[in-house]
Amino acid sequence: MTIEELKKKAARIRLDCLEMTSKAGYGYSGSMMSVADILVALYYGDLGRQKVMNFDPKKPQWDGQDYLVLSKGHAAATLYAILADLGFFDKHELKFFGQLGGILTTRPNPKIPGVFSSGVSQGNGLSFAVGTALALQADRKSNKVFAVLGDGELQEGQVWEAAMAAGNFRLNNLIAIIDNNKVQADGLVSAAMDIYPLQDKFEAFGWNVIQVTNGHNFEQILDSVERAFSSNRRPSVIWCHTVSGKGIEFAEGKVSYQGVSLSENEMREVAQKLKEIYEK
Amino acid sequence: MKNNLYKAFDDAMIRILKKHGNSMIFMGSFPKVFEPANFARFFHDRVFNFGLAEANLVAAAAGSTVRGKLPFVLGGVSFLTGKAWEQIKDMVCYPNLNVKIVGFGSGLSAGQGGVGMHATSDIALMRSIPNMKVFCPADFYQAVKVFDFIADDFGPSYVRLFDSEVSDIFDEKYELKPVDRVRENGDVLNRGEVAILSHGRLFSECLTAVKEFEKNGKLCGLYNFPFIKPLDKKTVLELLAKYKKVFVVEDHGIGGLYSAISEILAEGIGGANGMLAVLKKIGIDEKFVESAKEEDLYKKYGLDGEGILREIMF
Repeated sequence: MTIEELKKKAARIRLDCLEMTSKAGYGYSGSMMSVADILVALYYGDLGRQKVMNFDPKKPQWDGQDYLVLSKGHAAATLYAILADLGFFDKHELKFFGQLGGILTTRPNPKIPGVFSSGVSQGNGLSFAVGTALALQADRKSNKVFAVLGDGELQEGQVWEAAMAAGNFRLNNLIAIIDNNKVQADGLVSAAMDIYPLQDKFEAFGWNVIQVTNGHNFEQILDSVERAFSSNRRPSVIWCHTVSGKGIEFAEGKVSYQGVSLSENEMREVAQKLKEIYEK
Repeated sequence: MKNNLYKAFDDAMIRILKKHGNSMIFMGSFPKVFEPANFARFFHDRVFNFGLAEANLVAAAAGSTVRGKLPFVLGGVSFLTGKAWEQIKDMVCYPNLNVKIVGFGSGLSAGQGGVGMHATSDIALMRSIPNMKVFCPADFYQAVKVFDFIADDFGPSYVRLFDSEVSDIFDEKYELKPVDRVRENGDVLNRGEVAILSHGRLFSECLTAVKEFEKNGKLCGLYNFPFIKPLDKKTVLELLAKYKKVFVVEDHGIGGLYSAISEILAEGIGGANGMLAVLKKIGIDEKFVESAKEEDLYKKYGLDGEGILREIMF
């Protein structure tokens, strides 16, 4: 996809996941929006002739595929909107997000086609990805494993256990992506527990650190992935600076929109703006 | 012959790693007593040491199943079931992944290691999680069969192993079953006076007690429960109806086999019209015990053969 097409796709995905969470009355709008461009870049982006991620919606068990673990599981709706759009399951399912009888749980679980890991509790995803990457390495396979983390969950000690293990096992098939939107459930990350300096921390654990100053700029995200792919004997972390609520004018950077879904009125306003982008 | 369960794990894993090309071992840091671990020597490319990081260890093992692996997670009972409980629940049992949790140092078998290493809540912690199966082998031969069983079985399981050496109870011909009827002397019409239900490390102590009991010309039923979950409900109800008094002996606190059987007894009372056994526990409830030699602890808390005999005599 071209950059313009990626932008349109991201607007469409934003609308789909905001609609499903609004309908459910449950969602993390701020977090879903901050990670949207990252996930769109991973699933739809390409690096010249090479796709960022290899997968086949018709063969969810395909041996040659790459894997994505959404550790910040509270943003699952964004992932589901993408998986539905790609044809992993019927788009109709989005209407039953977080409801009895639906397959789409509010946080990821591997019964959902295209989802590999449970993401019901923060801080576990990087460890899971380490296990997948290690299994691939043991089989001498070159498939990639992506782990998408929130910034608040970096406060969990287990993330650093996983970081240590990834460095120790030299998992260069592992790419962690941090959605650094600066907001967590109870306010600003910096007010809850400071997580910086990230560059020094990951480097000390043996990682290749790539900083993306604008995690909503597709050129920057794709460029960082390309650099991560050429990492030699070290896992890579792509540290993306993002904006909570990105794409919803009235919610951008606002703590109050982190853990809520949008009201019907808010939805009308947002839908109009997003449609203007993808119907352009 | 005396044997320990480290050896059982080592022997079984050599076979399992050979038979199941997809099996792997995710190890926590381990006491030297285990060395030399032959599985690690012969299959070093499928054995990974994660150091002291149980939460990461368990979640990483879960991650390997995405590639069709059969991971065995090896570590201390209290650390795996305590520190990594959430990972076992959320990352292994909720998605029902084929991860086998194997813990050493059950009950008070870590002896002088003290409270941090004693494990008397692990059965409760594990059996309360949906999809999880719980196994407590009592000797070398039973442990080997448990490992073979879980390797062929699909889904999460937890195996509780003790550190100490015990005399063999079974032999190489032993076949794994949910309940092993070691001594049986009651029936529904002519109810036996007393029976003991036990598992794991204390089973050999129970056997000692029962042998002494028999020397006095008395009879005591003795049943071994390698499967704590799923529990053989039918057999439990049968035993509760066949004996007047049933003791559950275990190196565990609230939530172990005694609790599991109490749950069945509570369900059964209505139907049986009060004709079920009086159920008693010999165990370690509401106690943090000293760091001392295992045998001294068992003696002090009445968990050795003598202590068990004292209880069943009256």
